[in-house]
Parts: sequence; C-alpha cells; structure tokens
Amino acid sequence: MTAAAARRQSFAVVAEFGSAAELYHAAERVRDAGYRFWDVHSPFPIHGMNKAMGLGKSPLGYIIFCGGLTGFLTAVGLEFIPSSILYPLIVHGKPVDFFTVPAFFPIMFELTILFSAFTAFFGVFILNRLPRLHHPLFDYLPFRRVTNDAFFLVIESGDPKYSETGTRDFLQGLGSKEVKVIYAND
Amino acid sequence: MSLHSVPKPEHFDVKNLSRILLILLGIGALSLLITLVVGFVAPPGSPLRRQFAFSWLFAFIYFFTVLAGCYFWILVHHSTDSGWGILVRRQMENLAMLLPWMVLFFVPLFLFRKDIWAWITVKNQVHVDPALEAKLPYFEFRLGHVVIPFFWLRTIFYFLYFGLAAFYFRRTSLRQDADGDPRWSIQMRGVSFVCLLVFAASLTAMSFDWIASLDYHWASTMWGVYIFSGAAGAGMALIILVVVGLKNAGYLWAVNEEHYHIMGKLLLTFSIFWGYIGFSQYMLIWYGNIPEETQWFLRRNVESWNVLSTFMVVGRFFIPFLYLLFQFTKRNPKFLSFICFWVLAMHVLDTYITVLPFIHPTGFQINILDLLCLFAIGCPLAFLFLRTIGDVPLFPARDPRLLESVNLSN
Amino acid sequence: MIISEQTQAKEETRARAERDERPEPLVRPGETFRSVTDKIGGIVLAGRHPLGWWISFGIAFLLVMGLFYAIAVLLAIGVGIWGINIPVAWGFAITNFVWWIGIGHAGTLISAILLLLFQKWRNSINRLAEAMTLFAVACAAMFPLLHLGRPWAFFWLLPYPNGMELWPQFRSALVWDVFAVSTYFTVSVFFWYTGLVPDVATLRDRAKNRFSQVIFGIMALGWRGSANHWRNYESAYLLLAGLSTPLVLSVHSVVSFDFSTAIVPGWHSTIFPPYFVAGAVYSGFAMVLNIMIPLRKWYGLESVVTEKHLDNMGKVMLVTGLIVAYGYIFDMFTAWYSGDAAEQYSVVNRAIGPYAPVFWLLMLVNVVLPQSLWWPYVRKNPVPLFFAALSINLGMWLERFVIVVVSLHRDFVPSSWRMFIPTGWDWLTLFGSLGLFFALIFLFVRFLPMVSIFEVRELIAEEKEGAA
Repeated sequence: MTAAAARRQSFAVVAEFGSAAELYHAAERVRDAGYRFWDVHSPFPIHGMNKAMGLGKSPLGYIIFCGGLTGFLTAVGLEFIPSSILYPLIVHGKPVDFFTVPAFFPIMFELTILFSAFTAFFGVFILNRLPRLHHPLFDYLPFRRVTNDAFFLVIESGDPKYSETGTRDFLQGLGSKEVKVIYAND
Repeated sequence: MSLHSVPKPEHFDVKNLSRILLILLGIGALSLLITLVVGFVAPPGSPLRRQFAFSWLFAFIYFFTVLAGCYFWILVHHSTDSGWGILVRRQMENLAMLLPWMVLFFVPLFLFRKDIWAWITVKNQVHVDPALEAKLPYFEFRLGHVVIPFFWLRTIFYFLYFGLAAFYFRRTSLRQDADGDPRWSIQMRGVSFVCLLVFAASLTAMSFDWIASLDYHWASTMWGVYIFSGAAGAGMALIILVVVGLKNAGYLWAVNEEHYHIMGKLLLTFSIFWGYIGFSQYMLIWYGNIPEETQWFLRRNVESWNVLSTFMVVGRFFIPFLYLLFQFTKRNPKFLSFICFWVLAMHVLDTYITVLPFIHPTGFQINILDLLCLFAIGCPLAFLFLRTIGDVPLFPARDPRLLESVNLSN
Repeated sequence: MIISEQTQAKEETRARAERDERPEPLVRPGETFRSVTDKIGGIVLAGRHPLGWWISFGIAFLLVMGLFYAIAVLLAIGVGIWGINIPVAWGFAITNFVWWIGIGHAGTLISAILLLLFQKWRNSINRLAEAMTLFAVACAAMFPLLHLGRPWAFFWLLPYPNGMELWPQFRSALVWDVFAVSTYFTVSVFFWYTGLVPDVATLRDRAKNRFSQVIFGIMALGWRGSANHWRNYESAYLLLAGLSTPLVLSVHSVVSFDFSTAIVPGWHSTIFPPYFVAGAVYSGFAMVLNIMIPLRKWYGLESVVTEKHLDNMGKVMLVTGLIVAYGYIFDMFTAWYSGDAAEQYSVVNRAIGPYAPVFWLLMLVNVVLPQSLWWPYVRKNPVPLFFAALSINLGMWLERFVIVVVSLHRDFVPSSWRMFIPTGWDWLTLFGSLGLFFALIFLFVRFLPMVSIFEVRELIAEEKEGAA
C-alpha cells in the first residue's frame, strides 16, 4: 500500500486526553485553529463544551414546539368534530358548542404532551444520526473506554485543514496522552 | 465571573424620594377621605353604602393576599434552605412587614360588617336560614351562656400570626446583619416549617371567613388553595417589581439576570399552578352541576361578568404562561417587569370577580369607589414601604451564604 | 460597617458545619469514573446476585403465577368472582389502579421535577425510580382493563374510525383516563429509554460475551458520547423532563376526576386533584425507599445512594404527607361546612361506620406514624425509614380503599346500601400485582444498570472540581 493510498483511506485522527478539563481546553484550541469536521467524545456531558466547541444551542426545542402544536390541534379536531359536528348530542346537560371545552381540555393537554414527547424522542436520535450501529471509531479498541473514563478528540479526514501528519502533530501539541490515525476499513 | 468577597451592605437613600412620598401621601389621604366620607354619609342599607363596603373589601383582600404571598416566599426561602434568593430576601421581608398595618385597613370592614357578610344579619332573623343554622358554629357558638365570636377570634388570630411572623423574620434577619451569626439562619429554618403549617391553615380559613362566607351556601374544598395560588403568584410579581425598581435606582448591583431568571420561573410556575387550580375547581363544579355549588360560578358567568371571567382565564393564565415560556423574557428586567405589572393587574381582576358580583348580579359596573379604595389602601402602603426601606440594609449582607446568591448561575 | 473577608470566610465555614450537621457528599469520596462504572455496570455484567435477590425474586415469581391463575379464572368466569356488587362496583380493582398509578408518579417526579430544580441528588436514584414508574403504570393499567369484564374489547375505548361510525364520549372522565394513562406510559418509556442509552453503551463496550455485546449494541443505537450527541441529548432530556412534570400532575388529576366529577358523597370534592397528586408522590417516594433500601445493602451501593438521599426522600415524604393531612382535614371540614346531609354522613360513616377500623388504621399509618419523619434519626437510618415507608404505602392503599369502597357502599338511598367483602380472588390479584411489580424490578436490576452511571460520573466530576 502506498502512502498516498493510505491517506485516502484514513478516516480521522484520534487524540486521547486525561480529563474533562484537558479535553475542554483542547477543544477551544481546535476551534480557534479553524477545524470544521471534528468532535469530542466523553463519558458524560461536559459543562460548557458547546461554547468551547463553538456549537450553538440545540434546535430541538423548536421542533418539539411544532410537535406539541400538532398534538393540540389533533385533539381539538378529534374532540370537536365528532362531538359538535357529527353527533351533537347533549350528554348530562353539557353544551355541544365551544363552551363544552372544560370537558375537552384534559385530552387536549394529554395529546399535546404525547406528540411533543414523540418529537423529542425521535428528534434527538434523528438529529444525532442514530441509530448507526457501526462507526469507524469503534474499530479503535481504546475508544471503548469513552463510555467509561476516557476523553477523546477526533478530527475527521473530511476537514479541509486535515493532513495526516499536520493534524497529528497539532493534536500532540495540545497535550494529548496518545494520538492515533484511524483508517476506515470499508 | 465569580466573586470571592461579599458585597458591602447597601442603604437606600430616602432623600431623593421626598416628592414621590408626598404625592403618595396626598393621593392616599385624599382617597381615604373621600371613600370614608362616602361610606359614613351614605344612609344604612343604601346601595352606595354597600358599594363602599364591597369596594373596600375588594381592595383589602387584594393587598392582603399580595402581601401574604410575599410573606409566603420568605417561608419557602427558609424552609427549602435555598441560597439563590438571599440578595432579594430583605425585600420580601420589607413587603411582609406591611402585613401588620393591614389591621388598620380592616377597621372599616369591621364597622361595615353588616353590609358585607350576610350571615351577620341572617343569624339574627326570626327564621334563620337552615343552610346557615347548620354552620353557624363556625361563625359563632355558645359555650354555656357566653357567645364565642369564633369568626372574630380567628380574624384577630390572622393578624397576630401574620404580624408577629413577619416581624420575627425581619428582626431575626436584622440581628444576623448585626452579628453575622449563622445560628439565626438555622433558627429561621426551623421556625419557617412551623410557620408554613400555620400559614396553610390560616390562609385557608381566612379565604373561607372573609371571602367564601359572603355566600354562606357555597363551599369548595379547593377554595383555600385557589386563593393561595393567586396570592403566591402576585406576591412574586410584586417582589420582582421592587427588586427591578431598586436595581434601576442604582442599588442591589449584585442582582443579575440569573436572579430574574429564577424569579421568572417561579412566576411562571405559579401562573400554571393558578391555571391548574382554577380549572380544576371550575370544571369539577361545572361538571358535578349541584345547584348549591354552581351558583357561585353562575353569578360570575352571567351577563357581562361572563366576559370578565373569560378574559381572566386568558389574562391570568394563558398570557403569562406563553410569555414566560421563553428564556429572554425571564432574564430581561424590562420584559419581566411588564409581565409582573400584568399579573398584578390580573390579580386585581381576579379579586374583583371574586368580591363584586355580590352587589352587581346583573353585570359588572365599575364604580369610582373601587378605584379610590385601591388608592386609599395602596398609597399608604406604598408610602410606608418607601418610607421605611431606608431604615435597614437592602440585603442581608452578613448572611453566611450570601456568596451563593451572588455567584448564582442556572 | 465593613467586614473583613477573613472573618466572613470563617463564618461561612462555621455556618456550613452547623447547617449540615454531617456534611454528606452525594457520592462518597474515593469513587472514580472507573470505579462507579465497575461497581454499577458490574452488577449487570458479572451476573452474580446475592441470596436476597434470589429469594425475593422467587417469591415475586410465585405471586406472578398466582396472578396469572387469578386472571385466567377471571376471564373464564367473569368479574363476579370478585366481591364487587352494586353499589360498590369499583371495589379492589380501582383501589389498586389508583394506588399503583400513584406509586408510578414518584418515579417521574424524582427524575423530571428534581432535574428541573437542579437537585443533583436525584442522579443516583432516578433510574430505579423511572423503572419503577414503568412497572407501576403497567400494573395500574392492568386493573381497569380486567375490570372491563370483557378486556378483549378494550379498543372500544380508543377513538378509531369504525364501521358503526361511533366515537367515545370525550366528555367522560373515564375516556380522559384512557388518554392520560396511555400517554403517561408512552412518555415514561421514552424518558426511561433516553436516559438509558449512554449507560447501555457502557455495557456494550464492557460486555465480554458476544450475545450481550450484540444485544446491548443494538439497544445503545451506536452511541458514541460525542459532544454533538450530548448537546441534543441534554436538550431532549431536559425537555422530556419539562413535559413529564405537568404530565404527572395531569395524570393523577385526571384519575382524581374519575371520582370528583361524580356527585357521590365523599367523591365530589374540588380539592381532589392536588390532593391526589400529593398522595401519589407520598406513596411513590415510600415505594422507592422500600425498594432502594434493600438493594443498596445487597449490592453495596451505599457510596452512591448515601444517607443524604435517604434524608432528602424522608423530607419529601414528610411534606407531601402533611399536604395529604391538609386534604383530610379540609375535606372533613368542608363536608360539615357545606351543610349537605349526605356529605356529612359520609364523613361520619367513615369514622364510625362498618369500615371504621380501616379508617382509623389509615389515620394511624398514614398520618400519625409518618410524623416520626420529623426526627433526623428516622430519616437517616435505613431500618426505621424502611418501616416508615412501609407504613405509608399501606396507608395510601387504605386511603384509596376508603375513597372507593367506603364512599360507594353507602350512597344517598339507604335501601341501596350494601357491604363490600373482598374475596380470595381480590386478594390474589392484589398480591399478584405486587409480585408482578417486584419480579419486573428484580429482572430490571439483573439486566440493566439500576443507577444512572453517566450521571454519577457527572457528580464525581463536579465534586472533583469543587475540591480542586
């Protein structure tokens, strides 16, 4: 295998750091260096990492709001159409027009919550591009410790500033414990 | 940005306020004069006299509930051992210290009691309404030959309790200002637990005594909780306004958007809570459809009252709820104080709908006396508040956990 | 008045020492990221379980078999095998339903509300509490279905376009129940599973045999702990918590509407919604303690579930217990004050009627005994706290029994009064549902991490920062 072929296949450079704080400071440096296709991996959410990485707020809130609104409108339709339009029956003295709404309110509320929760649950996994059962990083055995006590910073080869040696040296300069180039094997 | 040294105590300078104080005093005295003269001049049994009595009751209940709400937040603060609000706690204490003054404003209610509480006149009739006879012991009962005025004894108890407790919490807090001893914090925590229990009982009984008994047929187990939910929300709104006001005047520099954020969240919570309690109470009575119960809401949903009641649902729940859902509205003092004014205004409406339908069953008629009574009680209270706010430091500067509040982040 | 910073610092230390008589960290010092992973993950992966687990699971399993038998007989013969009659049509089934769903609520409350309130101590107990919610709601939902008489026609409760063009009566509190309970179950599953994903990824990466690797691998959905993942994840988790909080309140309020929309004396009380919610939290926290206290002993989790947790849960029970007591007192007061003869009689009947012993036992175990929680000794010691929680669980079941049965058995017309006497099948179904609940809990402990590992790591990271 020539060196050029190996570079084409390389997937990313992975650097391991000793603690959340070190990872945090490294992320700030990578952000300032202008990399774009990179990510950090940690065993728990690190407070302030969004800022260190230059990520914005999650857009999930707005998506869920739309989901909730859909749920609310569904309930309005579901209750008023049969009870006020299709079969306007007066049951235990309750009106059939708008003023029966106290009795409809519980279901409106429940469906709003239900639809919001659906969007939250599926939204978070879609935004995270999950499920994705295999990922090149999983081939790097030490990466398994990311769900235990290890902290990683990954710069992917798709990044315009990426160069196998340059990026590796850069990460080494940030105080990483171990830097390794990973190759996609598919 | 985190501070490691405590901020120095601040004192409010009353000198610049003399003009406002004068205006408040003037409006207050004028309104007091007009309302009381109208009340006493109007012949007994006349509609004008009743109007005065109910307008006064409306204004009294309004201010009493708001201040009781402020007092409630002191209790919550101590009993949950929370650190965020130490910077603003003194303002809760100052507001609660107005509660003892409310006893003065109760005097007209006592004098006009026969025009307000129907049971007082009904009990002396030859044929007592059987609905009242059954529950008369709640208002007064006989012990041997002695008539025990249970209702009035309770009223005295409320003032004693609220007055002494408000006094206790501020005095203890001031003592800590003097010696910085943490044992006062621990003592207040213990006392606040007991005070919370008495608070729950008093506020419930009070809401039955002063408000629900206007129609002695009616009863709802939720009533005390309903009054409480409105009071706590309005109390928080007033606290926020006072803090924002002080901040705008150049004081309380350590208060920042984090504190507004938390207070905004509490305001949001209690707007939701009010909606929840109000809805549950209304829906259950509407659904059960028992005449003795529905008459309370029927009175408030006929004629033009219906418009007000419907508007209150939107104004007291939906608007603050949707408005406060966003983060920026809670963190920006301008946006936040707007909704606080709104909530306090909606609390006026809530109290209005609670009290006034008894004399205007055919639809609401806003009387000039309603407004004047609000001024007659509100202006003197505001005067007292501003007059005394300079006497004590603006925040408990030697509370051992002050830094926790200064360096708040959420 | 100028205070030197030094004096201030001294005062602060002194205050802290006095404030927390025993400064108890949320995770005992000495625990590291790796040690908690080993400790909590190891319970699942090592698969060695103490004798207590086997005995308890064995008993629970036998009870499940009993439950299956009772259900089989019920389906074959009908609800007549229970002690229910007219007027006491609701009997044990609805008592159990309300009790179980109340227990479920504390799970969501611990997880969601305490998360919103930044109460870090929740991190060690929320997972078990969420699992408890799921199983309790499953047990709860079983009872109204069995009580239908023809459970196989349960889908008639749902709005679906059918050949008859019929729709459920949306104004009926029982239809609200269907929506509330099914929404609650669904959202609880989402919330629980979302919380579980990072921890399942831990198990995936540490599992030794291929089978576990594949199963946990699929369940973890390829979780890589990337900052991007965490960002959306934290947002979703917080929003789910924000949705669950009003949901919990609404579900038990809707359950209370089943009673309070009716005009039966003893049921038609406007305070029911908040009072039911408080009662739910009360019994739910008690159940968490009843499960957690033995488990932390068996699996040596004292360093993660500390005395501070027990103390806090004790305090929550004390407060909610007092709210419940407030409900009792003002319910009785308003019954008297309302002047309604039937309402007044329903209170008298509770106290001196044929079910009076149940009522007084309720007062003893639900109001009097829990006052022992005022003493820090009871809150901080597992054994007395366990018994206090047990007493509360019994008390809340009795409360539901009093509300359901004692209110129904004597309504407006004396000629229709009738006693309710539970049959053996009633008891078998009740204890069978307990068995089902505990069997599921024990299986959960066996197969999934019972403490949220990544959230405990967060606590450790924070305590390290604080110490540094």
